[in-house]
Amino acid sequence: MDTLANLGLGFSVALEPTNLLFCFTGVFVGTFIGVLPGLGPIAAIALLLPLTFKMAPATAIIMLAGIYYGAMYGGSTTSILVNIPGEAASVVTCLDGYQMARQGRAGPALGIAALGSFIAGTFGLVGLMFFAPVLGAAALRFGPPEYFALTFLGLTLISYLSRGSMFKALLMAIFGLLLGTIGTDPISGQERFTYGSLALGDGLGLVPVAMGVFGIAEVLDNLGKNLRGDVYENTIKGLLPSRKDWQESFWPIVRGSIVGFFIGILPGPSGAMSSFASYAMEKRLSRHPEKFGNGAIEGVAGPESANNSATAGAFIPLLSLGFPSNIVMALFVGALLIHGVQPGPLFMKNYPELFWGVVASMYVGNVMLLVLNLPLIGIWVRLLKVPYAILYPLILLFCLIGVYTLNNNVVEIFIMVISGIVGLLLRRVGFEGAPFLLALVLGPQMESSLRQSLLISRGSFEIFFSRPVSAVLMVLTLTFLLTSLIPALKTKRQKLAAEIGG
Amino acid sequence: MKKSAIVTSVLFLMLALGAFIESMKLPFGRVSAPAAGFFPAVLAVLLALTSLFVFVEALRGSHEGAVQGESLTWKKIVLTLGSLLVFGFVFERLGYLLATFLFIIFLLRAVERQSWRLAISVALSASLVSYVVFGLLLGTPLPAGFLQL
Repeated sequence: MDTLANLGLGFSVALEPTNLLFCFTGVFVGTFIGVLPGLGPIAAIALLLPLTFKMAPATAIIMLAGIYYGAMYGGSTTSILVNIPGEAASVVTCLDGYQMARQGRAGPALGIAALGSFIAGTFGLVGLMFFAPVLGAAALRFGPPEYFALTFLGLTLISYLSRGSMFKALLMAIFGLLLGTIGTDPISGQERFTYGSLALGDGLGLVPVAMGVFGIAEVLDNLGKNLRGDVYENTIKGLLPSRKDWQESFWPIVRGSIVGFFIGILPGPSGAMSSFASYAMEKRLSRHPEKFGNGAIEGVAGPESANNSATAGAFIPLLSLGFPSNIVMALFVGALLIHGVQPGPLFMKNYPELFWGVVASMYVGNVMLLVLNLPLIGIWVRLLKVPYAILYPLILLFCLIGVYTLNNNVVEIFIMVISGIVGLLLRRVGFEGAPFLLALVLGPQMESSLRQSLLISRGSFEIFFSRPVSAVLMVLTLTFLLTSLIPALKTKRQKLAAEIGG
Repeated sequence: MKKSAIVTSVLFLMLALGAFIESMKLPFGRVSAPAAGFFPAVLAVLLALTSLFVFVEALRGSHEGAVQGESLTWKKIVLTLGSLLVFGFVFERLGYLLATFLFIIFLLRAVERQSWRLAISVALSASLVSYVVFGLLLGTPLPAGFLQL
């Protein structure tokens, strides 16, 4: 009953006119940016982040959350219509979604993606409501060793799931951690590797690096390839899936929602991981697996549902532990801290109107997306029909404005461009950007929790194995690490990673 | 591909060495009381180790994950990168409107060889619309430049 009362409080916050307006702005801009190939939620949040500085904290988070799940929606549109994933989580949607579009079934594909996302998003929110308080209560007993083990697990998982060699992925993760030490030491306050640069005092900015490695590098890569999928424009009709489509998609949506939610809680690339896991599962359970890759609607319904409930799941570690499990969540931490709000175990108790307001706004936002996006698909299609030659200068312009306006500092533009070049070159040689970026996000937390743990234990590493929660996490992490290095098991990981990486 | 993986791993090895030397200049502390240099130093060692592994892997001829097949047309990439860097240098001096206008014209004309008419109309509308949305509606501070626009 408590939950119901809280939810009532939440809706009273979410339905305030200002919050409604910015919830709408968030989902709209999020979808728009998600549709543009090469720009994901990170770029969208960066563009609107400066705007949130002047808002009330609840309004700010409501809008940013809207951008995040809006971009997830938008990403699937691009995957289905042009076979270019709008963002990482919709890579698998390309496989069957684009095939459906080629067979003239773009309408049902888009429709089931939207409806599946809506159902899964709602499921994820119910899960969030029930699990966040539980984990929050447990988190009160989390100390530095648990936090260290969590960061370690997150980095190992993302390296494990990267395409190509595990050593290369680990190298990128360590590289990210190393660059994460640039700036002021979190414990002693000493300057490290800044060489007198003021801009580096707060560390290497996450946004410019992320936009460089994902946005700029992606655009340059597409540019150099000179290729572009054809938009399936033949008038999209019948967005509503048929009865048969529903029957085929019902269980994939249910399973995708559940799997996605729990993967979302894990630290790491939860969006991409959940959509892949759902795709693999549906293919295995299907009575006609040969249809997958040739336009099976299950292959769209499952993954699209999974990545949306993963979005809700990813809020759990953020809100209850103060632990960002991906880059977008790290930006949320930044946005909360600007308003003096500390996410963590006490968050729900101290800021109930903020927590429940954001949760309720996600229901509202999901409804808005559903109502808006089905009719708006026509606009997105027209946007995608603009030739890439004209689109990419505008995408680059968005990146430039977004990065510049964060701190009104040109240095960040250079950081972004340089990260873009380095990211592109490394990717060509088989070094993935994802482990690097997550490491940059988790680095400071990993370092301070490691150092605090060692202080507590007086230099003994036993502390990570003598406490139950951290012991479980550490054993899990080491299992992943060791199995990926043993040759016999290596191929299995590679197969998994290759499928995720597309 | 094999060569580029070897070169990359050697570069990372050098980076690790540099990072190690630099972090040794910071106070290391003890394992029981680690100070500012502790974490970077440990990471530099780990980075050196993994780059060695990647090096060996590359020597053995494995190039997992490298992008094969079609090569990129580097001319466009270099031109675009150049324009991004120049944009960074002149942005605050030229001001928002002029810098974005020239930036888009350059990409559309010099890199993409679109018609003048199209280039000018896209550049003009993009710079004006984004200026109105970000500068006026959202109140983002954008540099005015020498024209004071």
